[in-house]
Amino acid sequence: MITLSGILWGGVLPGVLAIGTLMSVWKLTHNAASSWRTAVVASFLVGMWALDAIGVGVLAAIAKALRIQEAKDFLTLLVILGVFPDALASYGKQGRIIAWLLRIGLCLFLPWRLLAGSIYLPKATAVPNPFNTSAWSTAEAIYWLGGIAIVLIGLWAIFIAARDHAPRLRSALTAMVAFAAAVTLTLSGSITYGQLMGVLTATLAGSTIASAFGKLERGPDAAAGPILMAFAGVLVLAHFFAELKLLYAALLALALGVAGGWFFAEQKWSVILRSAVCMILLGAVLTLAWIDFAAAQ
Amino acid sequence: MKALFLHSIVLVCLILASSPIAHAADNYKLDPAHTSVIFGVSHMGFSYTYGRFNEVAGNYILDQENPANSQFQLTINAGSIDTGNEKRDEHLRGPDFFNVKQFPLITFQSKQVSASKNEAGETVYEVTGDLTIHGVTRSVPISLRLLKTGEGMQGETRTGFLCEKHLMRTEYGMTNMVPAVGDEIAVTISFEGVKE
Repeated sequence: MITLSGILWGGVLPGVLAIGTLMSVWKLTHNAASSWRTAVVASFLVGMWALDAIGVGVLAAIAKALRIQEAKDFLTLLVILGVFPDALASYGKQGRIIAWLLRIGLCLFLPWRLLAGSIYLPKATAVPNPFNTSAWSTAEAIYWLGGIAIVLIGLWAIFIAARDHAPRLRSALTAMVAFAAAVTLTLSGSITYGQLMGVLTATLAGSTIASAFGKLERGPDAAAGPILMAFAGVLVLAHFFAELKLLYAALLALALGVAGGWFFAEQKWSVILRSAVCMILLGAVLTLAWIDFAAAQ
Repeated sequence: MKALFLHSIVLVCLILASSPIAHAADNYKLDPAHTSVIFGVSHMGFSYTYGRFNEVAGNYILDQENPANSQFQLTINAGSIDTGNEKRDEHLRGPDFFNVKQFPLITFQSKQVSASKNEAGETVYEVTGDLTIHGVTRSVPISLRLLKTGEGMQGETRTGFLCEKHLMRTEYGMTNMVPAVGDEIAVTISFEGVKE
């Protein structure tokens, strides 16, 4: 159920916070990358905690943030860790090597951390499950965890490669992909994950507005780590714990790559084609999700 | 004389073996066919929606002479939730409520047991134990009313219990859609165990 308080706390608050944070950090440092990273991390985390506060109150939400209960609580850690590789990459060749090693490690860590302890990867110390389970074999675990990691590494690479090309368009398209993902997740039956993607949408929309207003020459590539950790994390949760189809998750991941990543940057038609491909992908996934939703009613 | 002695031994053994009365520290396995876990929750204050969990397993050790030695262990398949509406059940299994792919089991493990008699003269076991729902473990006291100890249809020894308990779902991290879907859940569990 989407409520007014949900829109205010999970949408308006992170959006306004992203605008304020990005503009403030930009004024203080004139560092576009730092401005983007700070705005994305601060706004997404505050939006997540604010959503929790709706149900249990502010104090309980703060207490909940400190003790991890559900897999989605690990998103905080993942989004914060996502900052470090891109920040380290600016320290010469050695920094870039370390950054890539960290990125690969994080891309492997994300699916494992979110799925560990679930029916797919049960803990050895867990209470024995006397009912049927869907625990993965070693080969299945390698297939899924490795596959997700490879897709994530690919997305991260094309985000970084897009650094100097059409930052404002990429920012706006990335926010639109997050919005389409939020709608798709909600139509697929998970309000919780739809709201989390809504927080990311507001965060990216706020950052895009502030970035355009401040004429920053960087886009979502500057905060590739936190954005990808949040986006991929919610998609992984929604596919494995809710009813998001793999096809929709794949289309959304592809749309994110087209929206924010490298896309024939040297060509004049790149901007138009990037926008068109992105819109077609989003249109397809939204239409399919709507058809499923309507059929289930 | 020797034959009479042997017959007496056999007779005593048969009497003891066929006794319907449970003895100290008996092990019981839950009979799923005669175990029900049902619950009721308010829908926006208009009505109560009732549901059940269809898959339950467990066992218990019952020491009627020394109740402190008794133990109760119950495991419920959270994914077996059934409210008579498949679409709602799917939503209840999802991350907005039970998140059963992450938290497939609801478990109870007793830590402390005592017994007393109620006004009707029935034995009531006061059990305190760890109840885990949605990945959150809380120590909760429950009262298990011993309904009957006796012989089943196949001559097996059975005991049966009834338990009624009110839980607040937000205490277990299930905070979505409160208060539209009520916070307080009325749970009734009745189970039979077959002596092993």
